[in-house]
Amino acid sequence: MTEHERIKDRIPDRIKVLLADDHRMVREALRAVLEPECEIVAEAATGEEAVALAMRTKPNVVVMDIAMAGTGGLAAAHHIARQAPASRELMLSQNRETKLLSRRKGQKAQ
Amino acid sequence: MANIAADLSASSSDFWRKRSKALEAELAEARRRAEAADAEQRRIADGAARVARLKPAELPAEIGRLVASAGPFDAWIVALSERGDLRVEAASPGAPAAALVLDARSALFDSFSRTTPVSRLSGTPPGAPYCEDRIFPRVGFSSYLCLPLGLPFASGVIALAAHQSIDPAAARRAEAMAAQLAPTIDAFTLRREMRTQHALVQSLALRLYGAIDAERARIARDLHDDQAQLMTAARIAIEAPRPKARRILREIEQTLRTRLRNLRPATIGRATLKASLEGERRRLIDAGLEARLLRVADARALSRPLQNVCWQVAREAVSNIIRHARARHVELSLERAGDFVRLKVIDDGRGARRTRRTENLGMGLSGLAERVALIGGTLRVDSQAGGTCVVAEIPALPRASRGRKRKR
Repeated sequence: MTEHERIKDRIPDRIKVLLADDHRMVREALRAVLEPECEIVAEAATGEEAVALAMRTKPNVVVMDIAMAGTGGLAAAHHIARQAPASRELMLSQNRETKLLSRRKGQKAQ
Repeated sequence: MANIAADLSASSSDFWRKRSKALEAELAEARRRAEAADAEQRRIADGAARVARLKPAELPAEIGRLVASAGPFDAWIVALSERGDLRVEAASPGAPAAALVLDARSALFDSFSRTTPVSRLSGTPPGAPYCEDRIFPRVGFSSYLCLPLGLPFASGVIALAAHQSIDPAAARRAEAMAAQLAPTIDAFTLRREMRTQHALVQSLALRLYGAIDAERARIARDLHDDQAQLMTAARIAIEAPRPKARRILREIEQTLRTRLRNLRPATIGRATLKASLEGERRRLIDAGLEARLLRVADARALSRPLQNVCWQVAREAVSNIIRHARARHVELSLERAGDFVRLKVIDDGRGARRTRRTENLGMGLSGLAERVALIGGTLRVDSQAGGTCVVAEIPALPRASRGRKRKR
């Protein structure tokens, strides 16, 4: 089995995505962009909510805002990484260009 | 006859000798008196000149010493007015306490309020049935002389007291000295008043700028939290399929418009305050409440910004009632109370939890409390289970006079 095939095997037909952002319009925009390709399994407005929903819905990817009310995005990402290792987190930040980090890259950077 | 003539001639020379001697003595006495008067004049002029050069802090005590030096007095007190109140500024050792002499029944206070000398020079006989002053005799001074200081402005008063009688000449000298010092004392109190007013204006201006900065910070925070996120949403949305992107962008635009509209200051524009309050009553009725507008005082004489503040308070109170109070009846009123206008909004709702202090008011009312305080008024909110009462008392500054334009 080639490397490519192995990865392809692990990726489901429709990627399950959890959106976490404290602003409704941002979540709607993300949903509009992602919906053609992915299945949005849940939306969270706070870090805590994101962690809880990630446990329940087991998404493949969590798209999360770094600056959120309550538990911030980074802390929430940490929790999810520990408790749902299969998930990957994409972090969104307003401060610089919207940037996407995978959990592993993020950890390496730290 | 001859006898008489001889007598006359003899006594005549005697008479003239005596007469010339008497005249000489009289002349000497007159000269002495003139010199004394001159010296007194010089003393007064010198004293006045010296006082005029003093530092403000030293002035009250020096005035006391100078006026008291006119005669043997056992105690003196100098009290000057500050913002309409009389305050003891300096006193000799042994003078009665400030609280005593500022008593409304004291001769000192009497002299100040009537701007006229009040005195009892010959001493109070023991057990006198009546005495104008209830203070000095009580603390061992039988005689006193209170002189207003500074005319034409009632700047203050000096009290001179003695255990024995006061020599009327000394009283006259003291009075002359006090009169000579009047311009200096007036200048002193007026300058001090001016400084106080200036400090007041400055502190008000600082609070105003503080309020402006706080408001800007709030707007910036809102912009950051909200508008910036909306921009992010827009940036993401343009990657979405056309129809969805268009819908989201339209929604974002709508939100931005609403926010901007909300940022515009609320004013009554060209409407009268009465009509604006009537509008608030209508708003309550539209929300299904029973509302009455009682006693609307004629507010046309009030300046426009002031009418605005009145309406803003009413509007905020009404909004709170509609949003939170669950009230059934509301009464609005506006009345003139002396130099104030009093706006009242009373409801019979469930009251807010902890709203006695302004920090706990809704964001809107606490902002308004600040605004009302800035123009010298007060905003009180009394909230209990049986309802809430919002009372704003605002000094009724008249409309800035624009004489010609005023109709009537």
